[in-house]
Amino acid sequence: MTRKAQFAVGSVTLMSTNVGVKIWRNLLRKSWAGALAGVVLLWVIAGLVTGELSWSFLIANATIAGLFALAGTAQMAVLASGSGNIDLSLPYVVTFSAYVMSAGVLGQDNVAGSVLLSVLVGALTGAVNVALIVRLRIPAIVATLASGYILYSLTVSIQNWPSKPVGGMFEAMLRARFAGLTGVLIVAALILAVVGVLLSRTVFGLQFHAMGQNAEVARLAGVRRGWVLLGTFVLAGVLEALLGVLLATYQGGVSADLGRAYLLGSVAAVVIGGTRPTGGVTSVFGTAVGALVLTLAQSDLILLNFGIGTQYVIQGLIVLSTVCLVAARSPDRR
Amino acid sequence: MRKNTLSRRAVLAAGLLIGGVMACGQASANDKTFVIGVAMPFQTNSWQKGFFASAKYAAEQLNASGKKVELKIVDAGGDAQTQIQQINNLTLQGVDFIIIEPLSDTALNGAVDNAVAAGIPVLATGTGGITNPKAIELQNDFKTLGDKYVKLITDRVGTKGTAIMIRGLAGNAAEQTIQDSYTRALAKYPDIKVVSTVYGDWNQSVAQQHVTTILPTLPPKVDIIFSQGEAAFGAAQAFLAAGREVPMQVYGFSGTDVNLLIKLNEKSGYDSVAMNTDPGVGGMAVNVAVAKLSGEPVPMTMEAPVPVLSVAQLKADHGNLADSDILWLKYSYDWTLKNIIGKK
Repeated sequence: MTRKAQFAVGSVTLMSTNVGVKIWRNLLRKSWAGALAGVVLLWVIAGLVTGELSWSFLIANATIAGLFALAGTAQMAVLASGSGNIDLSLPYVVTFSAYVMSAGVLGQDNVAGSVLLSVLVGALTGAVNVALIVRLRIPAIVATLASGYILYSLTVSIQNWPSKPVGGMFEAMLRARFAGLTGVLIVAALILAVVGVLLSRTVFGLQFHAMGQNAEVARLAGVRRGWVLLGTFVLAGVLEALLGVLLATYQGGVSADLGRAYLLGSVAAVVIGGTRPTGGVTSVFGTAVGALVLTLAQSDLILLNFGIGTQYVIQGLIVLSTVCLVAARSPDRR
Repeated sequence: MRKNTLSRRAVLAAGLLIGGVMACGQASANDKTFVIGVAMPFQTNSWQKGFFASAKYAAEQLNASGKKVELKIVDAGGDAQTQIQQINNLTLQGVDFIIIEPLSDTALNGAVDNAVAAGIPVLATGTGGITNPKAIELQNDFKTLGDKYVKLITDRVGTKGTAIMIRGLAGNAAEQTIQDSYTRALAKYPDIKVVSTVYGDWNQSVAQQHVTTILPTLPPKVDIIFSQGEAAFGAAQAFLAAGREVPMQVYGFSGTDVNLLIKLNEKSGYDSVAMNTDPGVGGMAVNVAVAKLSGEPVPMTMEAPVPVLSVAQLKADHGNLADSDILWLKYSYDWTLKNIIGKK
């Protein structure tokens, strides 16, 4: 108190430094501050290696990171909804909806219908997951794996249908460039913005966070946990389906292992983005930045010509050190 | 009471069944119906689907030409332990021949010993070889693959240029063998500079991600992409999405690859080839099995060709391949006898 007063009566310059310090302090207090610093650092490293600080390099990485961020945000919602929750059906939802897009389940040119069907399947998978978890009390790690396998066998069965690139206006839009940004990056950012608002500015978002922090207290406060959990898993399923839709269209082709890389990537992005894996605190922006750290780190390691073993070790260290940092800063150290 | 009758009937039925099977076994020996067990590793990727289709095709052709062949196809679901059990089961069932696509180069050795001891010849092909010398090997020659592959590219772009290298799945033995053969072949071309190496994990999507992210750091003109399976399509898409020209590269046999190559060729005259380990080796293996069972002298190691198809051939014979399909070649019994079994 007294210190504040002293500053208040101080000179104008002191005042302005004080404001600056405050902004910096606020920034540093954000859960994603470390990840953002990581992005800048990795970008500069790439700049030093290649000899120029390339904007298009950053955008190219952000484009891929945007796709990872969709998977990351889906996983973040599930992780934060309560300790022990995880969505292992993620890669299968991604792959299945990609096949729905390109195998033309509803006819090859019915893009809107295919998107709708994909989203529906994603939502349904989320709902089935919650039914297994809440009604049958199966742990999320088992329930989501089981529903994932079912979806995988469905994928295998529609895999034989003749598929072709989605193409057309939709592909052109995702690959187009607007003010230096790629179409797919803008679409991903818009989806993430909507989720960000949903989680931070709505009643659902409040209840979701309350449940993640302490499920019992949330219940006593009148939160209907089953329904909030349903909303969370459906949200995750829809995000995964949208990722599949974007991948099938942007990449121009699908394969049965399309979603594989996104499971581990999704968890890593969440952790690096500063979300506590134990639940209750989330940041869509943080997860997006976390995804960008992952892709930039990968690109830097390629640019630096590190051997693949070293690459894996460094990536593991990045995730591990962020977890340690987050754990050290969280108030409830055990 | 009723239960008792039921169970008696069941025992009776089982007895009849067993007797029937035994009778069948004897009958087949007399009529020379060759029962060939095919132990597949999994059936979930397009290559394995092609292998399956080509094995069935070969069996149909053989049956049409008067030889009686029956396939017993089992699928290990990606698990080597399951595959061991399946090989042991096939041995117990008394099949005449076992074709294995091994999930491990060492774990199956015991099961193969059992089969061979029971007088059943075993052939390893497809996913790789096994270290048990009692097994007949029908394998691709990865040692000369690199020379052939690199030459296809230098024939088109010359012996100078900037290249990127997309490797396969890190830590995989076959990946290293293929990569070593590329490296040896590339040593002869010091003017081809590999400016960046990424791992595509044998996964289209991963290859595309990595190429997309490093693309802005590459020189404005990249002449060549060297890659292992499943990467050509993803790499090309990364260049196309960035609005750049697709460098020279060799494509694979999957529908996505073949259709893209035809499309690029029609658009700008882009000329390349498709080259792949052939899923048609499944049919070839069935032909070899029948040859062995018919008493032909089959050597213990044989080499499966790695076919190369030009754009013109692709357009003529495989122009309507779906993206989800894979191209495989058809080998007749006589062709196999002459070119695979008879080749010294």
